[in-house]
Amino acid sequence: VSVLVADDELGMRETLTDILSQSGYEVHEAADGEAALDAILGDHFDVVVMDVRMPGRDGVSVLREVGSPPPAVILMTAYASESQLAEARRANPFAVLRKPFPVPQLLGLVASAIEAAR
Amino acid sequence: MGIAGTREVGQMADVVSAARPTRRERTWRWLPAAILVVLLVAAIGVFVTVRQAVDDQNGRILRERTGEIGLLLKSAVGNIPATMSGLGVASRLGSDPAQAFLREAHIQPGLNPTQTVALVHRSGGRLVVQAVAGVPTLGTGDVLTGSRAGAVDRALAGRTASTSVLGRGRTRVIGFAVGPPTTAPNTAIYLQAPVDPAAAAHSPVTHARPFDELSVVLYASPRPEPSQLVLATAPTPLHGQVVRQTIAVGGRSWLLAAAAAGPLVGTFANAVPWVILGVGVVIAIISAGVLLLFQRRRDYALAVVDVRTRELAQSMAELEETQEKLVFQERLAAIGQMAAAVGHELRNPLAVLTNTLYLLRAGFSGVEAERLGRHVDRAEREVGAAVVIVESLLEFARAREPLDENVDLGDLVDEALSVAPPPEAVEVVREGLDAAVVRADHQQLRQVLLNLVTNAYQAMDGDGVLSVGARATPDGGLELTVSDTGSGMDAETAAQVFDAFFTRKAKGIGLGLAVTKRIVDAHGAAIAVDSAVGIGTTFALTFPPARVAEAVPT
Repeated sequence: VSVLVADDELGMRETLTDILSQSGYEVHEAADGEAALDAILGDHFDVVVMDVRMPGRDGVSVLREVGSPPPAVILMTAYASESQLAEARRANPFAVLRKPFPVPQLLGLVASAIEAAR
Repeated sequence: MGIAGTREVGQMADVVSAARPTRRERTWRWLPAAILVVLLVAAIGVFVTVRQAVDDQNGRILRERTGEIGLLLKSAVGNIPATMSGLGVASRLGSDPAQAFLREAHIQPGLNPTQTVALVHRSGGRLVVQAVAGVPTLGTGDVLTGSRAGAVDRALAGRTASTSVLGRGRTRVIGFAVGPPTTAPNTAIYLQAPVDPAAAAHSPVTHARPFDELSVVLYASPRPEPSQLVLATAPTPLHGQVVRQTIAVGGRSWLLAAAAAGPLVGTFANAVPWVILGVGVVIAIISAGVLLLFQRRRDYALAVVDVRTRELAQSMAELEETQEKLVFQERLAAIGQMAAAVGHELRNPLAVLTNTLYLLRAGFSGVEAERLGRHVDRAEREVGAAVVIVESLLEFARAREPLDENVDLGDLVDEALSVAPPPEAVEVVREGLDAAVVRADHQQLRQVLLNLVTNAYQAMDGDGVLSVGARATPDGGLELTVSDTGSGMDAETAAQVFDAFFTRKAKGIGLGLAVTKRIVDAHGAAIAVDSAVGIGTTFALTFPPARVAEAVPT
């Protein structure tokens, strides 16, 4: 099972990579929106864990570009307001997480996304 | 609006203060008094000069008149012997001189009834009265002595003679004597007349020219002895300019003194100096008064200006107050905006921290220990990032005056690097930081350094060289530079880095450099940025000489 972690922040990327690796997933990393889009279009990922705010292309834009069949995308955002959360939800992700989030919640969502894809 | 408004108010304040120096003109206060004094002195000077000329003229006329009076008196006194000569001739011609004298005396028309006339004969060294006519103040057979005898003796020697004034009070008399050749040898005519100086004041003679213009006093002596007063048309002693003249009467020197009873040159000529003085004083007072009036008016105008200036200053103060309130409200709005931004920004480091803590708590069994160390390091850095953001927020909201304390830049850099440790691939180069001490607010300067250092970390994206250096400037100040080898900025971005809420980074609220700039400004220091895309960025912080506590060894 392969998971793509897309976040411009190195700290976030590395911790998520280690957390997901520890849980037995094969983890790939993308440092910005363009890299994430390239990775998704190039390879198959069961789950994409992606930040909304990234330089260049943001997570919502990537999600819209991916087309069908879309992988299960879990968006993460640090935006505070409800309207911003609503905008992220309109892009039809599998789930939207508000940073910071409890790690078990992320792991649960990743597991259920894989479950749903099967 | 805020900044432009502040600048305008500042310019207005300059205009108002530039109008102040006109007040120095108030030192011309003494001018009216000076004008008054100068004009008064000039008027008095002209008055004295003209008065002198009038007095000179008066004196000249007085001397002329006195000379005329002297001649008149002399001729009047000279008539007395002529009157007496008839008696002398008569006494000589008759067989009995005494009878002839008396007969002649009774028919003599010029003889005054108040006078005494006597025929005196010298026999055996004695002067014996032989006959008396008129008032019987002498008797036949009387022997003349003293001044009378002296006068008769001089008459017998051939010269008309007079006595001094004899007696006292109402019985004062004066005598005249005529001798040969008018009379027979050793025979003299002696005339004695009462002296009443006061009578002269009522005499018609003294009311005619030239007496009428003068006060005249005549003494039968060369000195003004009261006992010898013969004639006075005014109370003695005389006042004002007095002319004295000696006239010879009967072998004696008489003193004639005269003073002007009124202005001799004419009333108008005499009044001219006073007119000049009066006009001068009036002109002086009017000039000074007009000048004073102008000064009062100007004072009033200045007072009005002062009042207006105060009102203007008050209006400006109110305007500034209003503006400060506006700025404060703007700042409150900005703080609200910022709180949202901070709320957002804190989420990222907290998310990383959360993940990191999860990994640590999970014991990290599947990952090598080296990687565990990196997670711990990262956790520290993210905490540092959160600290910087929170401190920026607090600093921006607080905006307090900087303290004045010694800050060792070397220690400060150590402190900043421990709060915000450099990523492991970032090399830190320090230069000239030993013994570089400035007078500054330690807490605020630490914030500045944290902002610059964390900015540098982010620009370098975890890999590069951070240089922190200090060096003396040519004018004795101190320059602290923080350089990175990061992504750099274009000129447009570099021009805006100090604006609040300006950021080109994917993360950050754009407050760090705004706070930095404000702290630096509050210290009277300067901050400049030099950046090139792809090469790096250098922030240079320049402290003025007054802020340098210890010289940097070069």
